[in-house]
Amino acid sequence: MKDLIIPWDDRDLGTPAAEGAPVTLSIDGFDVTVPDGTSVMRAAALAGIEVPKLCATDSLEAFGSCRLCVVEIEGRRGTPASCTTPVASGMVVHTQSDKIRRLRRGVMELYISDHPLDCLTCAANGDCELQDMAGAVGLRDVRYDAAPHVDNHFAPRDSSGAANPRWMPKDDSNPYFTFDPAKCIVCSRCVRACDEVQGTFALTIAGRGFDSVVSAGTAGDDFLSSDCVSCGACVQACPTATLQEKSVIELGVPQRSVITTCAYCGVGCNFKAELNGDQLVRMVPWRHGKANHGHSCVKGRFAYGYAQHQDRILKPMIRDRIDEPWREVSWDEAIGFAASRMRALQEAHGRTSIGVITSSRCTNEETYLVQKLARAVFRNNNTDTCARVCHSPTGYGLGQAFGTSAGTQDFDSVDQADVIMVIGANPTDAHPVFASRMKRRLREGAKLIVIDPRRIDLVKSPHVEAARHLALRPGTNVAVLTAMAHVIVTEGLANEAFIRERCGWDEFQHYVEFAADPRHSPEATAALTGVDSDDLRAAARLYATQGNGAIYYGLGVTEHSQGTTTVMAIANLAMLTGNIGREGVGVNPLRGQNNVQGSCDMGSFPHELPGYRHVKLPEARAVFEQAWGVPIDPEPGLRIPNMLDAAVAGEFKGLYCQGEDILQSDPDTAHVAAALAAMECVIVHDLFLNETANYAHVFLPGSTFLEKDGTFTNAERRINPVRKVMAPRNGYADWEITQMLANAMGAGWTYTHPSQIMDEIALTTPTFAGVSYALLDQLGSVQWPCNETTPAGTPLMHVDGFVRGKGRFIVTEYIATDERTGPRFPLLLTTGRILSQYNVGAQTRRTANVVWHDADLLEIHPTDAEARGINDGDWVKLSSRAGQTSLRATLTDRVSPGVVYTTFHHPDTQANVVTTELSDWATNCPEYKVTAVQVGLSNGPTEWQADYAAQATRSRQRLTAAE
Amino acid sequence: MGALPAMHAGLRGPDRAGRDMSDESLIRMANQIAAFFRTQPGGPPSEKVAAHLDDFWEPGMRRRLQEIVRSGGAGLDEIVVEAVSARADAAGGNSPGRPG
Ligand code: SF4
Ligand code: SF4
Ligand code: SF4
Ligand code: FES
Repeated sequence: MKDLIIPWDDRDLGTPAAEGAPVTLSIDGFDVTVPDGTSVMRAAALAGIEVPKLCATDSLEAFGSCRLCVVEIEGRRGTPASCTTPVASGMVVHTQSDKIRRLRRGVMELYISDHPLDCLTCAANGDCELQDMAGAVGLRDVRYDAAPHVDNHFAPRDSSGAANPRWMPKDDSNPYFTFDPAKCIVCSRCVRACDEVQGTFALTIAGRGFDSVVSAGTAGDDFLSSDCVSCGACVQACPTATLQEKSVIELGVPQRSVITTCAYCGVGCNFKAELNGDQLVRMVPWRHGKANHGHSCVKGRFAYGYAQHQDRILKPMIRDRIDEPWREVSWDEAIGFAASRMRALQEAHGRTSIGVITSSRCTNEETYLVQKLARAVFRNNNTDTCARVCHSPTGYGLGQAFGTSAGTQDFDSVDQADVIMVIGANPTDAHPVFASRMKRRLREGAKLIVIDPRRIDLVKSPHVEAARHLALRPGTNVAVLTAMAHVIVTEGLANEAFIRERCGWDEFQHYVEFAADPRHSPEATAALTGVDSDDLRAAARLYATQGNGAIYYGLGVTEHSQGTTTVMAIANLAMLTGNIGREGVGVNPLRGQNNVQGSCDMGSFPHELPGYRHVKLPEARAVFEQAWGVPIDPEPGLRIPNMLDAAVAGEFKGLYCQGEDILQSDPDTAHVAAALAAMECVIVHDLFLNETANYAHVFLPGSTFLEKDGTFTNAERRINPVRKVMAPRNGYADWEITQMLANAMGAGWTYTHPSQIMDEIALTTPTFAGVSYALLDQLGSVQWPCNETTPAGTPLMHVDGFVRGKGRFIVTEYIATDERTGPRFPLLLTTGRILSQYNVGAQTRRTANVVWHDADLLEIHPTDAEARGINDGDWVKLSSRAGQTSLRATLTDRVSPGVVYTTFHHPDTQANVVTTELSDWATNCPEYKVTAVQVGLSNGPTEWQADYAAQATRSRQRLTAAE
Repeated sequence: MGALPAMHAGLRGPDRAGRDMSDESLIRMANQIAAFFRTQPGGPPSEKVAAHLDDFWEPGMRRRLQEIVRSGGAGLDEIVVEAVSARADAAGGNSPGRPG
């Protein structure tokens, strides 16, 4: 458990970096050369001279309010604030003089006179900039005697016992941090962090001058009731104990730290895990993290408590039948039981009767081992991953069009975008840290187009407003995007020079002929898509003509019968307008889970070896046959939905499922349940007894991301290190457990550290050839392809040419889903998620994040609600041809009439009871986003929910006492 | 298997409407693939469908699809029937094997 010492400079340089031409000045007699536009404060800090400061911090624009940072500049009058004064060539600066010292002490004296002097017992003791600055300026006495009888804001009562009208009580409403106004110095760093970094604008400074105070929301609000999304940026920015993590109040200021990566979403934020011993005290987003640049969201920063939750299972368990209670056993017994059952199934039902599901939550190394288990030990290609149910169409669609199955840009590229088109994604909820970057760019003037059935927050939020929101009917993405292409082609907006140089000309001809057909015009398709033709034309012109156009899309694109076709349509638009191959443009899938990209890269799919090489290719197989010493099956294996169908048909009998809750997350729950029930050996490897475990025979307790080494690959292809912060509570890291199972089945693997697994990946996979743990320690992270020609990785793809050679236009005919509304099911259900919860919620439901979302709600338009006599908060029954469930309704015009929406974070709601078996034509990615439903009043949970709850309780029974 | 709770019965399964549920899936999925390739220019769609099935369908699924075709191919898009028959001929009857 070594602390990682990385040669990164973590000092706060006071103001953000600038990018101008070099300028040389003199500070305290030293010559310093910095980019033009740099502040004097930052230039001094770069030269190793710390100018005292309070209101400045380098994540925020300088504000110049505290005047602690004054300096003298030769030839200038007075004492300018160094944080707001830009450098100039030949400038001569003095940061220390009698006059300056006097001024700074005066400033500090004023601050301290209105600040309680309880430093020794303060939660920020040792981690307080006010304290540090009092020391730095040599404050020795305070002439203005503060409490208790003069005006101050920190004492509840004066010496006569009368209430102090300026005192305000502590705000404890947020579950993770407190706001204690008594300690506030009104530096406004919190307000600026909320505005500039997070972009939520939840905080204001109320009142003026001496009476000014920070306030969340409007009068009467506390942090919880305000717009605050609990990202913690203000807490991090606060120089005092005013905004303070509750964990620090409870556990003390942390003394050591380890750099690691968030395990929630595909943004892949780097964090400094700060500890005392092996007690995690807080997670602080790492300022050098290339995906997050020091920012984070509520999940990554605060929602890690699940690792210590009492529900976590720490001992292996087995049972012969799923109606028996679980028996706790030793690791040896559990692994032996699992291995012999799996081998017996293969003997009885054939080599291909068992398979694996790899996890997009686990590390690359772990995923690699699980697919290797299938390929080298089971000797079949029955491996799939939960990416099947989210971004598999991205892999196929972008692979066909560009030749590579990944996003084209890094996140930083959004800073150069002029038009941002968001399709079927809800970044402020699902990719919050990237959304903050995007919002910052939008505030700088970039234009926004949103294509989504629902009015997501981005459409209109403080200081951000979409130029166009195309609120299409769910399931008509292809028609809308083809209509955009129609406008671009017929109005002569296509970038022919780019197309001639970079794309296949014949295919382009076919495509133009197709797109120009009048039946694809916005006017012709408006009735089908529900999108106003003028809006659509305007959006197409905006994207095609207003500079750098960048597309970001999510599961609202992929989780459809035409998911793959939509991905192709997106690629077409980018090629048509030349928006690919440079900063500020591109096609960017926003990946859901932390390691969706990685699990795809690592060969989790049944037809592909690591690095996206088809199993039919002899040269690809040869690499692994040599490395592993076994022949590899040249035929594709079963995908998750195929495994389930085959199980129901009695042909698929055994499953090793790592870190994935298919029963809750996959569509058509009843079918998944029937399939699992039909299997004879289900091995669930997870942190908790998840829903799938109700049908399992073996439970192998997993480890959290805090307890192991490895890597995750985020949505920008960035391979981020995950570092062991504490020992695994269950005894083993997940890769060790897979290795034990493999070896019990005769594999003979001998890995002793995940770095050896990465070495094997690098050896066998050309796009990873240059990746090693040493490189990651050195660079912090690296974007694949990383090999001999690109040793430091590849931020931008397809710069000089497409990976496949010429970009390929593909005809995208709109083919309606079989899922149709009708008299029985007249509404369309679409699904999504929200900020505070994470997917099936197994982790976030076990943290204080539930204060923001304790149940899934059904969003329904007031018109549809009225027609059904539904009021806000009523229990309603949601039914489709697949099943029914019930939940509470919330009335909102975020959804259009005819469309309803819900999240899927809670197992007792089980939105997937109603989703259907339909799936994407090319990849079987399920159609979560369109289900024909009916909604009606109900009295409470349905019979199915009651049955389910009873069955779940029964199957979770454990015999823990002596057997 | 132990007795299954009531929730597993009746909804969907091998026995619904007397027809194998996984056949229904295979037919629907194959038809979806055909529907896409029907719209693609350049070359007969059945060849593209056949290649797609070879690349992405597990051999057991391809085999079952052939059986469905042999037993009349009810519900299957004609492009699928063509694609599957071509493969069956190439492989000399039963095997779903790859060409060449
Ligand atoms: S936690 Fe985030 S959203 Fe809430 S007030 Fe602070 S900066 Fe704003
Ligand atoms: S809460 Fe902290 S950051 Fe905000 S104004 Fe007060 S001292 Fe400054
Ligand atoms: S959940 Fe996503 S955005 Fe939030 S901290 Fe983790 S990686 Fe960053
Ligand atoms: S740090 Fe410069 S004015 Fe506050």
